[in-house]
Amino acid sequence: MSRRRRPRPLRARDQVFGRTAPGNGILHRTPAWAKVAVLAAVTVTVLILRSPTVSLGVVVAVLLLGAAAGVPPVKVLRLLRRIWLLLAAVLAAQLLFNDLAGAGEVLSRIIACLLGAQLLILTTRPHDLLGVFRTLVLPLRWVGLSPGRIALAGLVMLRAIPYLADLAHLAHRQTQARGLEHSIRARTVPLLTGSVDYARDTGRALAARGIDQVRR
Amino acid sequence: MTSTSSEIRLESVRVLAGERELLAVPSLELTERRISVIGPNGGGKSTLLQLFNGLTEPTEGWVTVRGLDTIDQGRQVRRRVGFVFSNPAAQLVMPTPQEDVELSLQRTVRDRAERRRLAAACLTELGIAELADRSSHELSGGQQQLAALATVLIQEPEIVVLDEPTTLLDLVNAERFTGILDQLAAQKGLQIITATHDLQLAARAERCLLIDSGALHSDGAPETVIETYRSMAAQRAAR
Amino acid sequence: MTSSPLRRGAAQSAHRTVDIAMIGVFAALIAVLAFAPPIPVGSAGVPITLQTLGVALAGLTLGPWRGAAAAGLYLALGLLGLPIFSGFAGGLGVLAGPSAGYLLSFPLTALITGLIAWAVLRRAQPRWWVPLLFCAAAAGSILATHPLGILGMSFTLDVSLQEAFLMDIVFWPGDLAKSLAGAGAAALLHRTYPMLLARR
Repeated sequence: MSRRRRPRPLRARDQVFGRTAPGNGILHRTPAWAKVAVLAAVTVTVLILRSPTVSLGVVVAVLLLGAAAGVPPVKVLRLLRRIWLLLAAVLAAQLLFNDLAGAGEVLSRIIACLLGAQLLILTTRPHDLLGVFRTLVLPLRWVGLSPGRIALAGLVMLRAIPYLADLAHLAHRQTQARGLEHSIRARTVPLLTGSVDYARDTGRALAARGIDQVRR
Repeated sequence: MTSTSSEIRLESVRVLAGERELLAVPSLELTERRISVIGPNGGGKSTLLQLFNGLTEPTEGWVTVRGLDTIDQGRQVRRRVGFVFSNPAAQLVMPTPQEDVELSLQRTVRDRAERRRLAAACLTELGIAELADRSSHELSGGQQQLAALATVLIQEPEIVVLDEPTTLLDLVNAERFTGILDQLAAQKGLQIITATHDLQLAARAERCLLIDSGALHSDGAPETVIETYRSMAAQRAAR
Repeated sequence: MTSSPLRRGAAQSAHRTVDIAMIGVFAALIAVLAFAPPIPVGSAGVPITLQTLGVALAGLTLGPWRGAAAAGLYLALGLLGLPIFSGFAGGLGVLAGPSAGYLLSFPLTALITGLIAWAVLRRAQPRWWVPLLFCAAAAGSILATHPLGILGMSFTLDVSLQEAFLMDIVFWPGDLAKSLAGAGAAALLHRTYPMLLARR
């Protein structure tokens, strides 16, 4: 047994927003909307062309671009470790239903798109992405939805994620203490009531401050 | 709408949730600078406080703040009445306290640089300038509560209503929070109404209200009202 | 509200901001449930996560419109590049993966689940809530999640619809378990917070 345990309550929130690679490289300084636009273009291209050469080219380009911007390839590739089971299953399915060439094409396509997105995630602050989101929902004005309110919901969401992650962690601990760790319901109920309480308190506090939308 | 009218006035107020009566106050006038509200949980303290800024509407009767009706002139009332809740985490929505305080100004101050300056000044005044750009989620409960107070004070309210503001704070932070509150009340001439379970804090007011079972049980000098509450609690616990 | 409609005050605006906060918080709840380590099942390896439980809960607790809005907010911010999909993936790139169809179905799933759930909660006796809410969650998943998920796999994995259907089958047991847990939790919640039901 190790003598020192790692501090655990912090883990949940680190997992969520501790994921940007610190730095001030070219990608960190590029505005978020530009990165989103380039990523969208690359994803669409890869999806339409469906060519392993293009996909592998994108993977190499992503790693080179990341390295140039001060994001080590290891950090980008770490995603693959988190989803390797999924990739292995995709490979198995392809070998079962298609052939080796098909497997290579599908896998390279998935990896290219996910790694491209990973580079965006690692070099962009969540709130900058929310800024892009606010611009993108502006046209919804024409169908009677309020972009300011949608943006406010987005803000609440970003704030709530670390709060609820802590709550989920606590709920998990409590179910362990009571020997209920296999009950989905025992893990869900405290999280659910906590969510409703938090939403109600937040909504009332915002109303009391006279805030019902985010203005530009 | 004269400025001579009392600060907060309730007239034949009843608040119903369906059939159930949450609160009934025939008549109440609040003019004192420091008022505390005590009583058991579920007795109607929060309902009473939320009447003051229209977050809860009286089903019957009228609530006015300086002559302004809390429903018909809700917006003006809310500008005058700031509200601090007990859960510090749920009152902050922006990534940092600085941005959260700026958010409170979005409607009144158009210039972004001016908003930034005013927000920074407000945080400095509360002694939390060093927290301005920290992540709101990383702050302690006491720090979050001070930041929440800043988001309210920046709107320059004349009345601040606090619903169990120190319940979730440790003793050091609770003391610090109430200390700052006392200071502000004196400096700015704010009217401060606090619901609390901390009887020491309740005793620091000029007037104390005991709310129980949806009614104003007693009202007067803190020492006497708190004594009434103590004996009431002792009686019930013995039963 | 019991006050006359002409008197519009802070209480109404409080309802509106509480609605906005509910949408934001439930979008966050879907994300947090998606963070539980995914268990990839079956030949296609679409991970079974509690993510779909979050979507069902949004419909069951918030009703059709707010529920769909929460799922839509989650989907939109995830596609934009927040790492909130399972495995901390995010960005438009996930549309290339096997989960694409499932993800895109979420707002529709929450809408269908919410429509049925609201009809149940307003008309049926509380003792029937759990089984009927289970049906609501299952209906959302059968009518929206699985059909769109199968279409998505057939497109991204280059397999026929029949083959995609076979891969999809492996999720059914987990889905039923999640629907049941969600129904139980939601029924409990609606008894504790009647205020949730007052809204569309």
